[in-house]
Amino acid sequence: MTAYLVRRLIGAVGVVFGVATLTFVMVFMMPGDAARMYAGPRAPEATVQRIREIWGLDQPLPVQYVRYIGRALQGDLGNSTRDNRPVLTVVVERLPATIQLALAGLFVELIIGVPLGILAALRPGSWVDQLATVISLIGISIPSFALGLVALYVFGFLIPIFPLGGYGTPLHLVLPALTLGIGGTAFYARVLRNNLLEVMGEDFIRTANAKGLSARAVLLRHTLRNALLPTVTLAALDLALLLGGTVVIEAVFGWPGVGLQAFQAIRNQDTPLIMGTVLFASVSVVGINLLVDLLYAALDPRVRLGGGGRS
Amino acid sequence: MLRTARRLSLLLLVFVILVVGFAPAAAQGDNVIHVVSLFDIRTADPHVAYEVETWTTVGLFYRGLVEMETTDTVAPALAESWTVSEDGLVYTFTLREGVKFSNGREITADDVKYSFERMFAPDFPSPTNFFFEAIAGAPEYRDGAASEISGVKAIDARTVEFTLSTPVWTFLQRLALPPGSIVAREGVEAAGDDFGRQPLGAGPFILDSWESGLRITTSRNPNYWKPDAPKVDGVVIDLLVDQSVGILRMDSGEADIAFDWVPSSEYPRISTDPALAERLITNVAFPNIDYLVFQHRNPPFDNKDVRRALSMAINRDRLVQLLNGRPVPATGPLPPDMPGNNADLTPFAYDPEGARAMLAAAGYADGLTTNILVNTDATNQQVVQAIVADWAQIGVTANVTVIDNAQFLDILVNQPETIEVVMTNWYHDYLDPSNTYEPLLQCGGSYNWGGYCSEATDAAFAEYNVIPPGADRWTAFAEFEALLFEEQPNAFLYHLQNYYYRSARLSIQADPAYLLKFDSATVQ
Repeated sequence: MTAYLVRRLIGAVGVVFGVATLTFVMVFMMPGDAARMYAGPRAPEATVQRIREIWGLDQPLPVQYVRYIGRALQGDLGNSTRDNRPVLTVVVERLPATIQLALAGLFVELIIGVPLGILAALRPGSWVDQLATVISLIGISIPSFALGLVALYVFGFLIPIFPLGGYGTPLHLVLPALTLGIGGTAFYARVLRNNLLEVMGEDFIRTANAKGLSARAVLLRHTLRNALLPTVTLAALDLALLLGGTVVIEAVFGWPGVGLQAFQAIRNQDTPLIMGTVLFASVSVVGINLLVDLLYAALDPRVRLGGGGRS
Repeated sequence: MLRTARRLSLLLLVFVILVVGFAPAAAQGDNVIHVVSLFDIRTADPHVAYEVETWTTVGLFYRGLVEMETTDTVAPALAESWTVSEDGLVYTFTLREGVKFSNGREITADDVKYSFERMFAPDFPSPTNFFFEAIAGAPEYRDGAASEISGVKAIDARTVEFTLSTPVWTFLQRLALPPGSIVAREGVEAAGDDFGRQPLGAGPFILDSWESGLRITTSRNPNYWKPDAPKVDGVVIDLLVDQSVGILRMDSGEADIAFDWVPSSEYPRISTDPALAERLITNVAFPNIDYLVFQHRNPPFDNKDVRRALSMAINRDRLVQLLNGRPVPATGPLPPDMPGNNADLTPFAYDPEGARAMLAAAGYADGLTTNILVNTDATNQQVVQAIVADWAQIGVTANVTVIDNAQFLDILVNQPETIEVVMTNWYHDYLDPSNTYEPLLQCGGSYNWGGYCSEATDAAFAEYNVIPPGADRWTAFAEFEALLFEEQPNAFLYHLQNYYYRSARLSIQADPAYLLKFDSATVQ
């Protein structure tokens, strides 16, 4: 297990390093001039050139890259060119909001998606299944900005139960989490429904039924347990993506998350901040993947041996 | 079943308690102005800020030697009086007696010198120092060739003298802008890189807290130099608030005003309802002109008749309709409220036939093909599409290239010779025709992307620009605008009028420099 862990850890570091390098090259190749973006169109060239020198943008790409990696290894991701604050501070201060929204959104997805999936699978083809499908389709079809604005108008303005956007209290979290979650609900409902139907056709379910177990016991102890595994994997990957930010939801609700920050950094050509947010997102994805893999390895010895098992 | 019902009622009770406990705080009742801002305000450093929302924020914490009283008159601020030498080169200011920074320290002439030297600091020059490049010795100081700015002298504790290398009649107006603010040296030194979020100046408010991406909280500056001001206890700015949500907040009484102007999509609803329309405040800062830049370096746009024909073929009234009636069709580059604007000029009448004939006479009987460069701004794209349709009527095929703002700026600044036609706009910093001509149309102007360069118009401008502000100057510039109209160096489209929308309880005026007068604002 230790050897497996070390192998995976090295792999994870390699992926993050690769993402950092690729992003650095891509940002360097982006058309535009970060110093000019900062200084604005009217600043004299002498001022802009001075800013380029101070930021080291006048150096060749390899020199800039080595300098960046060297500093990053010491925990210095540079300063945002937009507000001159350390990138690490700027990203870290957005983490609580990002994590809250990601977890709450995922919670909504699961709390609605899982029961909907079960209901649909229990009576395939029935009106419950049809309704679940329709709800799923609506969830997938409505753009989240529209859903968010309508939710704010109805529950923030017409019936003022929730605040009109913003961040800070549990109430602020409800509408963004619901808006974020409802879109994903459909996905989980569909996946779980199909997995359940697949598992229901397995021999061991027939055996369980034949043993005379109640339908409820068969569902909870045998069917659901086996059908949920892919859902758990999906949820973990989903969480990693949500941690990378949900630009639209953050924009509509004024939620200070990393997604909106990354979007603005790209628009402003804020190179250090683009690098910082991409690094954060890649560490989240790689880290959560690693955790899931380790969990799998702990549960299933075939994984850590590197084989696929006999079929 | 009963147990389930009980559980449900208990859950409902918890929910109600939560809702009541965390209900959003309404703005009504407190003596604080609640502001919303679409943007996460990046800085309050007057020497870094150059956006609508950052200049407004600077206005909360800073003041300069003078301030704008109306759109074209300057009033004393930290300085109580000043004199200007006859040749317009030497400005001598006397600081107000006992005027203090918000930390209680008295402001001296040394602070003024420090602020201007900070702006030109060789180790990090301010991007807005171009407003003051005419101060003698400032460029040398920025380039590291001098140890101080020779043109700013502290004569004694309360007297400071500026010497210019060339007369600039708008120098006072420039001093009234946010970049002319006086900063406290101890604040800059204590905050270091974070000075943008730890402001220390002599404005009406002081910072209580700055929660990035969330909220900026300020309270009244007890040392503010203006008597009986500010009238409110503080200003709280909620950041990252979507514009539509911001308007809902104002309608529900949760917010009093937005730093952002009313979006085009909301304007018809508000302006047609008399109860809401009276809550619109006309923005007076940054009057603008939206226009098409032509490439003057080579054919076909180096030909005046081609430019005039293309300008004549644009249906400006339709553009005004497209933008929900907000703009005023343009004759030349000067906004209607600008002194020196020629009110006798009328925009080109939309005349496709005349335009086609003029184009033919210029040697383009078969029309021509060109490319319009535009950024991703939705309004700009809408306008360009309408112009493409108008030009098609006279045989001009215009392809459109839409690019991101960063790349757009890069092309304009670094590869201006590659453009053919560009849709862009210019927001004036202060109301003087020189703020239009110098950057946009003078040979080598900093915003003159099309490379328009005419010795005759430059000479006329130089002649008029030495006339001090007053009737003579405005008459001269009105003539000058007629000359520009004839030349049609760019196709001037319209002046977009922008509005603020306020809550029913707020009373506030627009400011030509800091955008909103928070120091005299009141709430009921």
